[in-house]
Amino acid sequence: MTDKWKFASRVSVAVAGFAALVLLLNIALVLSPGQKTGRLVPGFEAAPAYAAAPEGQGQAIFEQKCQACHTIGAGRAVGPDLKGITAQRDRKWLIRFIVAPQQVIAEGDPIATQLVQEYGLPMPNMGLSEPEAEDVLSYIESQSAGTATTPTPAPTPTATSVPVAAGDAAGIGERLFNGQTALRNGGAACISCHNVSGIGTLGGGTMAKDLSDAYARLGEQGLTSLLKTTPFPIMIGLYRERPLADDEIAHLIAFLRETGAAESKPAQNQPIFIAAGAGGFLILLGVFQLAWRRRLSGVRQPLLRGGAR
Amino acid sequence: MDVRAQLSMVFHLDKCIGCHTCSLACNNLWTSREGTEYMWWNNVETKPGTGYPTLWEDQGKYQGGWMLKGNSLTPRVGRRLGLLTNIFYNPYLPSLDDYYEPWTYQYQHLFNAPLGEDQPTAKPLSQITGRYLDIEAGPNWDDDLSGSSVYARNDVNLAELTPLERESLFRLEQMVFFYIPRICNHCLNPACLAVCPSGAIYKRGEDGIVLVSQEKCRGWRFCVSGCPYKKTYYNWKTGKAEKCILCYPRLETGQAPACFHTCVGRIRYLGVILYDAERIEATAKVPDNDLVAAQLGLILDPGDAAVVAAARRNGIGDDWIAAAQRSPVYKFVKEWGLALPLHAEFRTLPMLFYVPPLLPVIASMRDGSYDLAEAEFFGRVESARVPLKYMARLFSAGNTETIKRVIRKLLAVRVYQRAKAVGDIAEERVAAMMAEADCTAEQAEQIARLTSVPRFDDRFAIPPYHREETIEQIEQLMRHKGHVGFDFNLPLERGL
Ligand code: SF4
Ligand code: SF4
Repeated sequence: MTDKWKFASRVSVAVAGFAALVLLLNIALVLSPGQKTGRLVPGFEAAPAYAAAPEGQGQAIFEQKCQACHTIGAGRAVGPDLKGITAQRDRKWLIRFIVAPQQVIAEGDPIATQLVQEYGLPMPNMGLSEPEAEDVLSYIESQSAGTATTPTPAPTPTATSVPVAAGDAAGIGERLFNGQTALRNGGAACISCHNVSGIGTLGGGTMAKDLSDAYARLGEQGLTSLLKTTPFPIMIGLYRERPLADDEIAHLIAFLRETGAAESKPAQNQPIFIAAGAGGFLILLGVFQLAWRRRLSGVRQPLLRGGAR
Repeated sequence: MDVRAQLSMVFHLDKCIGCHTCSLACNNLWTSREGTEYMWWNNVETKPGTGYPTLWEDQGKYQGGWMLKGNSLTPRVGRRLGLLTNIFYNPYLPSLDDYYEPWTYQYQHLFNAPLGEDQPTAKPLSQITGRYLDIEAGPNWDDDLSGSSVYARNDVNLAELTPLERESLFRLEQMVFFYIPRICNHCLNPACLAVCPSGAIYKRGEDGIVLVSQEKCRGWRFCVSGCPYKKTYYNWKTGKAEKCILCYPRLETGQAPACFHTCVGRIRYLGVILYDAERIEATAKVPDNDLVAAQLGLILDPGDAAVVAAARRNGIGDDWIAAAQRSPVYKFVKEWGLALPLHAEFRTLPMLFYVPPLLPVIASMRDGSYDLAEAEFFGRVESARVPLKYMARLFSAGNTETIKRVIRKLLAVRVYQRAKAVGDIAEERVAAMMAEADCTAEQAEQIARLTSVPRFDDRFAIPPYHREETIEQIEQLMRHKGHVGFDFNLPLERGL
């Protein structure tokens, strides 16, 4: 009898201990530096070597770093169309913004704030130096001056996107999103960092942006170019070596479109979750009470009740 | 030989009158604070009885003390790993009801009551909740065998008696009882210390007093379970354990502990003994039957030159060795073999020894008068009203031979003194009894003297502590200047 309850209490302590251990390990992993994937903010590695030709440098940088979100004269994508931007804004401001966008935004610069509001996400820091920013601006200037005809930039990703059978594609996309199907090139599943409404009880990660309204915000084209180039610091670290395949991108977009359209229900999950938590807590309390019920038993009262033994 | 000094005690039960002065002295000095209302570091209980807290001797319930598993000695509540995994679950504790809910009376009502038909009364109030209380039990509820149908009958030490023996104990004309005053035994192998998860309990090097560090204690209460005598208590106000400190602040200034000093029956003796610490573990592993003999064997003769030399090597000062040589405890326990430890079978090697009481012999009422069916004046060992088996349970780990030897000697001394003072006992009979008890005339005189007319200094051989010198080596004296209290040393808040 006693031994059984001793054993039960030992098991529960052991389980709690194990849980604490796992938690500690997790914290240690997250905090430990070095691991490339574990890093919260991967530093930019040395800037890649650009084509030697100085006049081509601006173009090279643009294609590598800007084109994912911006066009020159082909309309707005993830970010604004940059045609004629040099005429529109102060050059000094532009250079500062290109070099250190996060800082400018953080300072509460009115233009930057307005842009963030309009486009729904801040421009990431691309690690350009001031001379490089100059080169890019010159390139944009030359392109703006030339024509609006040749949309030099975009090898329009939309063009490559695979046409998909809608219903099924969303399903495949969901499985890709939550990691049930592994990404072909070995990239991390989106759910590790992103949430999207209606994705299981626990939801997705909270480290990066909630993607429930991503489709509405960025549109087909914006998403495609984003996923192709993964321009954000953390995503660069994760996906540069293991890019998403074109069909995977299409499936993911289909999934995001669908969840966005369904305008699903984080509000519905919450009460269930709380109720489940409360219920679990009560059940645990009950179990402890049962297992440890002898803890307050006195001896005098039984003596009185039993008289002589 | 690893000689150490221990401040040890003897209580002479034949002299205890059950007045509880000792308990009150202790209570006034140490446990009259909030959180300690229910504690009696010194308590006096009636035997047969279940004591305080109720049934403290029942280790099936409380899991106190040590047990012998094969050749290894383990605390009954568990070893380190078992304790740590069960640290939030310890059912082996007395509940407040097993101690008692402390109470006071609404005295103010006697003065403030409005004019009425009846005399105002002072109703009992709980000292814990402050509400009115129906008093159901107290630390001495079974005093003088009151409530014996519940308490005395459930004394665990009666387990080995036959139903007939038990019945006869409680028959009206044969009812018999005696008192046992109890304080912490300041054991050589303290179980309270062994089971403390915080390492808060320690045994002082110089005199073996067992103390709870109020700074290290984290209130796990395993000492409460671990001590088989239930002599550590949990202070619900401070969240720490407390226990008898043998009035060390008094000892260090050359005074006897409060309960010793105030004892009305003068039953208490205190003195230094020297013991061999090397053999503690081996002694605690001896089978029950030889346990008492082995424990007494640990105590060394302070007159032996080899012992004195070894004591000096261990840093015991000459004045302490001298105190050990005039220790009344050594005389009672070793020289005369009259005092025995209480419940040696708990294996904590308690350092408080009891001279067992000589109880009345069996008699019966015949024709309305008391008929002693006994030839001897003080009766014989075999016809004691409390069966030897019961006494053996208490004082000699069940070994009736040991207790018989002690009682025989006590009887011999009485007969010797009676013969001397009154002269109505035949000389041969006295000589025979003295021989049987292995007692010389000189020893009998000494025993009688130390038992009946001892002076203060005979009862208490308090060694000089030199606290004023030694403290300078471990404390910065000025640091606590102006601080007071039993609690943490904090400055007084006084003034404007
Ligand atoms: S009697 Fe005192 S020293 Fe012995 S185990 Fe109990 S509290 Fe500890
Ligand atoms: S003061 Fe002495 S005589 Fe009185 S109860 Fe205590 S031990 Fe016994």
